[in-house]
Amino acid sequence: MALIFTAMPVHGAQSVEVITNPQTPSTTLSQASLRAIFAMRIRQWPDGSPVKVFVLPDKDTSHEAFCKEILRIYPYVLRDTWDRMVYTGAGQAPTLARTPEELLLNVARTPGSIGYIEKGKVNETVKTLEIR
Amino acid sequence: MKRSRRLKFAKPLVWLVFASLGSACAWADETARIGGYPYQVHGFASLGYINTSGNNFYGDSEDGSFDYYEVGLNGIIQFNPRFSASGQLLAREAGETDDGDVRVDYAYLDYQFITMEAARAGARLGRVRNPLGFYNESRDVLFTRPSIMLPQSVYLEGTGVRELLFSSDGIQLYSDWDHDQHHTSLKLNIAKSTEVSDTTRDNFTGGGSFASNFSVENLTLRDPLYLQLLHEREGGRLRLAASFLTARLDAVFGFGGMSFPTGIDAEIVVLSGQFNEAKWTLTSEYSLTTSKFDFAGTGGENRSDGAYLQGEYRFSPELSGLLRYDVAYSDRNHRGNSDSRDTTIGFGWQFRPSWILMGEFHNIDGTAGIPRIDNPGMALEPRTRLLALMLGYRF
Repeated sequence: MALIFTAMPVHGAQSVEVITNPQTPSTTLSQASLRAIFAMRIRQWPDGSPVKVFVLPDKDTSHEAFCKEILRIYPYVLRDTWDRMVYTGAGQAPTLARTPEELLLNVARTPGSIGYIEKGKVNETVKTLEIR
Repeated sequence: MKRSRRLKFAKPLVWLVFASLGSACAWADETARIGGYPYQVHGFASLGYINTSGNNFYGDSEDGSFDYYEVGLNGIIQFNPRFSASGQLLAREAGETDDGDVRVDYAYLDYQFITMEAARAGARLGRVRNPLGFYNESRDVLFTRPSIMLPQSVYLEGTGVRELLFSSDGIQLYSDWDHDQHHTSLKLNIAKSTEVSDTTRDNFTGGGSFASNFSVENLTLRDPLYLQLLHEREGGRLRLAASFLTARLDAVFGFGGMSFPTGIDAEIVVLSGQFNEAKWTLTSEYSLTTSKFDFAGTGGENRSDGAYLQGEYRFSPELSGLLRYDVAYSDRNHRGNSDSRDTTIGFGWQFRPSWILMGEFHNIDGTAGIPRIDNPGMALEPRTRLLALMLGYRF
């Protein structure tokens, strides 16, 4: 499936990276698609395999940085979106990892997974995604 | 018709304990599967305290009342990225207006026949929640609403109409699109006709607080249709919605041994707007209801409308304050003597991610939103002051 968006590039120094399981087919994503994935609207990768979203707690500084710098959505707006989905049956909530280490481990071993982590903590067990 | 109050506290407490147990599996373990399919279970419970002067609101609130709680438990199972099933059980007690019985809030199968990266479309079959304004779809979940009581002008708290808005047995067709920084969604609910519950009927009629030889039977909601277009700009910084509902309400009025078939064709339009900024949120919604009624061969038309303006300020991610001005007119052609006004000041304190304490004070002029059934046999006072506190938990 072609990426049909020419989303605005994400400017500025980012403190977090978007990471996926190494087997995930995509290497780049538009910002609009990334936002749709983290709003739990996109449920499958272009090859049809299920997307598995991992997030850190709302108050985690990496979560706040990810929302502000990359998704460009306020954390409370994203939380409201998840709540509306969960309490109307329209979709699943993302899976909460309690620490960055837990998130990294889960993304490394879960096929179709996507998450984010502080730049310095990325290692070879996961793939980083370029967001355009 | 006054129910026993012995178990008033037992029920919510049992639910709270139960919900706490549920939190052991909070945020659904990523490995939770049934028959190989991933599933999630979530729930919520909230218990309210209301103290009023002027009129009762949800129980004997002039003496202080805990007759207000809501609890729910839901599950969703994802068979594949296109196909899921979900359902929620809900129990709500609100003075005499709601009875605490467990009901199926929603239960449906969801199939997405278009799953593109930039757009999706699908159908939900079963009992689906109705979109109306920003808050109707999840109005019983404290965490998803801005205040304990939703504004009367749009959400019709305290009246019989509230229950009619919840959910539809039928089909929901939906679609949504992502485009650059924006997101648009469309929902259409087409529902089958249903007979209205006795609780709702009693809310309408005041539960016999009018003349004793007056009755309403066979109250039926016919052919309800809901439509909502929602547009969110720049990641939800600006949200705009237009909602539309049309339905017919049929009933047979009995009076002094005679019966009169009657009906109301109702249309509701709600226009909604919201700005979300880092520290504050500004929300306004306007609602217009057109009712065409026929009664024993005669007919007429009524138009009622109302709007509210609401500001929320986040002092921190955990603590927010709310100010709202809400006005409703039961006859928009005679605004001067048909208005109800509610000025609200409140707070929300999310002291743990799963817990929230909300509190608010309402100064209500007018009786449009006052539950008649909580004030049996009394003429309503023109003014009500209401203090509400509510503790909510979710997992």
